[in-house]
Amino acid sequence: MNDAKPLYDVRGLSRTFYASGGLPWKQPRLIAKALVDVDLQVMMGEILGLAGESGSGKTTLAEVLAGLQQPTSGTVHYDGRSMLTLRGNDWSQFRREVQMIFQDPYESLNPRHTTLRSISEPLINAGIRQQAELVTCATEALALAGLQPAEAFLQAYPHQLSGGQRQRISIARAIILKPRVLIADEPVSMLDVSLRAGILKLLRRLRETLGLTILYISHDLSTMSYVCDRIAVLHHGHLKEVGPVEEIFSAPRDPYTRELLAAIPTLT
Amino acid sequence: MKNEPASPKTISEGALVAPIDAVDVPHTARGYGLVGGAWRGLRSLSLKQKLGFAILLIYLVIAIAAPALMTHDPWAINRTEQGLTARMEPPSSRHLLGTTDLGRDLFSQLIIGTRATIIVGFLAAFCVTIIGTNMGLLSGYYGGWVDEIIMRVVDVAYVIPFVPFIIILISLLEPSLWNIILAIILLFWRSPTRVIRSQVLSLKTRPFVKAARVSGASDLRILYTQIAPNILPLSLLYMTISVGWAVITEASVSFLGLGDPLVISWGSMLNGAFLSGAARHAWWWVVPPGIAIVLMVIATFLVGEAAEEYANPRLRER
Ligand SMILES: Nc1ncnc2c1ncn2[C@@H]1O[C@H](COP(=O)(O)OP(=O)(O)OP(=O)(O)O)[C@@H](O)[C@H]1O
Ligand SMILES: [Mg+2]
Repeated sequence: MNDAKPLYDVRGLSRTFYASGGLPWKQPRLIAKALVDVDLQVMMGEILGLAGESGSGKTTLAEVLAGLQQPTSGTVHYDGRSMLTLRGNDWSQFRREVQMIFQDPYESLNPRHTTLRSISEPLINAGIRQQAELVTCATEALALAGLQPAEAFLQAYPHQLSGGQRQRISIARAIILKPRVLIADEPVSMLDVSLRAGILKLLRRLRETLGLTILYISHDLSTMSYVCDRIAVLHHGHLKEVGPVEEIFSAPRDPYTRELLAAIPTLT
Repeated sequence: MKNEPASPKTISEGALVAPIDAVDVPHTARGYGLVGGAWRGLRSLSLKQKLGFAILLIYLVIAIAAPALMTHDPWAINRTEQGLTARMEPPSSRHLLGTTDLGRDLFSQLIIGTRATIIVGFLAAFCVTIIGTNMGLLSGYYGGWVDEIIMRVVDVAYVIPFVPFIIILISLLEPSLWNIILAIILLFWRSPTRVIRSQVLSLKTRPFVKAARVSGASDLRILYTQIAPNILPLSLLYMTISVGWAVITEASVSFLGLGDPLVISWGSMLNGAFLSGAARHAWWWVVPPGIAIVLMVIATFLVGEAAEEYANPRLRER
């Protein structure tokens, strides 16, 4: 993991949001510069933390890396290839390799789908249709995500489950295809404090068992110290600094990072 | 300590390899999906909603069993024992609802008229719902020029006045049950389209749609497996409302004499009563089809109310 090669190579990435002028001849109005000239490398097998206050562009960066949004300018290379050139089979391959979990466990599962139905979605899209196989894979993924016995969850609907259980189901869905990358956008911020540690432990365990590369996003630096190998700090769309956890915590270079660190409540 | 996950010390490295975290099992492993939910919904109906369902069910049975229930051929000119045409007879044991000016049995007409009403009501409502739902889904999901085109056509459909439209349509084509259904579809698909479109606009921004995209689902797959199940209750609501409107429309059109001359419907019965000039005193000719129409419409709206509660969980959990 120490001198791994970059899985993602982001250069000069900017993402700007415009409101369309409505009428064709009207100038679109700038509403936000979510990312400004970001350079970032994500190493294979690492857990990279992405920190920053609300509105700093964390979700935007995550979605660009997940292929859900296009950069306004700049390039993103995934595994040595520009993401823009991924088409057809390569794109499907990318879709299978890069998975994402979302902030709100109440919203990221379809309320009308059972757990089995939700978790099976990546399998079905990858061409696996046999019910027996879907159940076997789902059971295994649920176990990996810490939900056992699977039978208790497979036929349950989201409203019958707790927030922590739902987030684990989202995780099970994300890992069912044995991906290479897991992008976790504030996976614990909407969870009860008592449940957070469990989910974070789970992420670390998954990195070990599946060899995942994880991008862990949070506005809270404190949770990062035991999840992450390195931390990147975003502020108003600018990447302020990147470095190993110990370095960021012990010798922050950027004033904004120091501000974030000072905001962590301490146990005294 | 338990409430302080922020501290790195609370999680020992050893705990990371602990087999399974303690996770409680959901209370009920058996969920309720669309069908199960509908069944639960059916059982929690209010009395008048149950009445609505019952009336619709009775109409349906009458429509299916019409040939067995009719006492006479509804077109036949009946004769009295003296051999005269049985004109304008009030209800009697021979003619349960009396006869028309041509001696036709009104009870049998009322029974067979159920068929036309049910066919128009359900078929038109079904098509309106299918078309409206799909147009709303496509329009809301794809946006752009797809949305632009569909919404402009909807705007046009909204400004067309119904009666002139149907008169022109029927005179261009021919007065038949199918053309009435066609006219109803052409005019009423607009409302579900609009409502479902706005629902889709909000649904498509929900994270589970993003999650499905990450799972590799195509646009069409997202539209029909992720979004559509969430608007199905709304579609059902529009289906029931449309049945009511279709019944009213068919009755009005037939009453205006634009109906299918070969089909007996409640509207065409009323039309006959007014044309013969008997409407004022032959109550047995006017009242039964009138009541039949009103009951049918009330029943569909009661069922619609139930569908609305089913569609809107906040109403459901009163
Ligand atoms: N679809 C969009 N349209 C317009 N503006 C957007 C859009 N998405 C993000 N933005 C803007 O871009 C900026 C960055 O947003 P982003 O969601 O990436 O921040 P974030 O760091 O994830 O914040 P949070 O912690 O609140 O989730 C914000 O100012 C936001 O308003
Ligand atoms: Mg965010």
